[in-house]
Amino acid sequence: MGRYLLKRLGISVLVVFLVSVISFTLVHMLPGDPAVLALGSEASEQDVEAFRKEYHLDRPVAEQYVIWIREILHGDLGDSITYSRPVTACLAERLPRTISIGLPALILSSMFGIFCGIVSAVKRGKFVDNLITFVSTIGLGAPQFWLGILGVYIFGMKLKLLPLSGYVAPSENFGQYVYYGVMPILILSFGLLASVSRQTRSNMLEVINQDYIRTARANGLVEKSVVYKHALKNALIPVITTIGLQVRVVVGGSLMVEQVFNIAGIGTLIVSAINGRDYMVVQGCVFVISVFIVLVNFVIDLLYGFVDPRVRKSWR
Amino acid sequence: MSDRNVTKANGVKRFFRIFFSRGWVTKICFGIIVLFVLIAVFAPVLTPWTPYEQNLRNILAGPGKEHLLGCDNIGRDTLTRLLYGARISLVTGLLSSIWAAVVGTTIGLIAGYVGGWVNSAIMRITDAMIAIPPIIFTMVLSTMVTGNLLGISIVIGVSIIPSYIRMVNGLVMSLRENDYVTAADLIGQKQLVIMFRHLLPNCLASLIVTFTMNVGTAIMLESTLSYLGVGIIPPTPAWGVMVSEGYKYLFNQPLVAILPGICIMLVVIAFNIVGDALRDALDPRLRGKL
Repeated sequence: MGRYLLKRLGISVLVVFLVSVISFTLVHMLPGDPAVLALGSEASEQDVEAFRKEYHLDRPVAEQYVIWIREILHGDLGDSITYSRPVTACLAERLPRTISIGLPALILSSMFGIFCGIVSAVKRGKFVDNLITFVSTIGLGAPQFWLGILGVYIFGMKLKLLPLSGYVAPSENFGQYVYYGVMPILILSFGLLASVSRQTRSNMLEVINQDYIRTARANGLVEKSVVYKHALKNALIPVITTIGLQVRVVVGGSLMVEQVFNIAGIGTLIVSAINGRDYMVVQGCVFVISVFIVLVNFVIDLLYGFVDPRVRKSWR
Repeated sequence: MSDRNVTKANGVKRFFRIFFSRGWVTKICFGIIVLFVLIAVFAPVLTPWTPYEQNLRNILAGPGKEHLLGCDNIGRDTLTRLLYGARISLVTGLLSSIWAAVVGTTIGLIAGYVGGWVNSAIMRITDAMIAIPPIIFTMVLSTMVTGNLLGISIVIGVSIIPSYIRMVNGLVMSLRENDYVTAADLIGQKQLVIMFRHLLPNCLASLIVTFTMNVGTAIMLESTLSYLGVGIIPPTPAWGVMVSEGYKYLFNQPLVAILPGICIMLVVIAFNIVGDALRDALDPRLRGKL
């Protein structure tokens, strides 16, 4: 097991390194001079020079990368050009908001998605199954920004039940947080729910056809116990991977949801940083998000071993 | 020779039978794709207006005789813009998927066949690319191409290349163990011939399925980028642009923002479901799975 762990860890570190190279290259391919963008076209030659020096923009690209990596290893992501404060400070300020929308969405959609998947598989071909399949098809096909706008129109403008946009932190006022957060959270979970429930459904169907389930039924076990005790355990293993992959979707989705509902989270930070050519913020955000995703996948690989003894065996 | 033609014809018949065996849903979705392709091709014939024609008298007008679905904030006909929007969506969707398929398949084929460190290196880079959320990846890249259709297609293509690499790579790794590959190697076939003559055709079924699904993904990405203001730029009538422009006037005229979203949804769902049906028809081993 130790060897397997080390190997997986090594691969993850390698991928993190590659991610850093990609996010750095990506950002340095952005057109436009960040110095001119930050200082305005009226800025004097000296000012521009000084600015370049301050942000190491006068050095060769490879050296800039080395400087950046060295700073990361010291826990520093550099300074934002537009906000003139550390990128880590910007992230620390905005991350809680994104998490307070993304995490409930992830939990909600996983739980509800698994439930829908089971129901769908057990009642295969019945009305409930068709209904769930129909709803998940829409969840996978509808653009999230559009769902957000539709929600604003129906629940905000027509029914006047929910606010049009805005955000309140849960630590500030929990009631208000729920009031403002319910729509973004639900819309973010909709797409995830669809993929989790589809994955659960197909796994359940596969497992239900296996011999040990037939044996359990033949032994006279109650159908409920067969489904929830015997089938579900094995069916849920691949679902863990799906949920892990969803973290990526949550990040992408929160970008849109934040844009629609005007929440100052990581998503809006990235969008404004890209438009303002804020090199440090963009590469910092892309790097942090991607490392987080690599980490989640690493943890999921390990979880697999704990959940499935067959996988644990292959580790040796 | 005629025998061969008969089996071929039977194969085609079988394909269509299974393709449509999922019932009316597949038929409708196939119909939706055909419909939108026709709309994209014949857009100028279908409407008396152009997507850029402004009429300040009709600002945010509701549906009426002259403008069937009303007008937007500067009096452009919504229906016309929707029809022309189909062109943008389908062209970017197809273009990006085609170019990603060509590049991704080639890379996956070579990596899978050559194996060794080349394979590991390419797969790790693919892992790293997949770790970056596609929306963020394409958003950063799309600032380089300033809103033109070809540029956006290339950018979206780059973000879906990894899906082809992974798929083809996995297939080739198992295919190359087959006897016919060893045989081809033994009679002295060139490696390129083995890869593209013998291995590629065996990947074709999965490729077509992945391609169909990716057209949907690409259309979704394009509309998202356009919505965020970094994809196709106004006044070009892309559906994402229309949603983003219409959002500001949601209260006065909701149709402008809501209709393009329905179009995006219909097209994306249609491509997903047709992809599912294709998988059933082309790859019997995968039938019944997701």
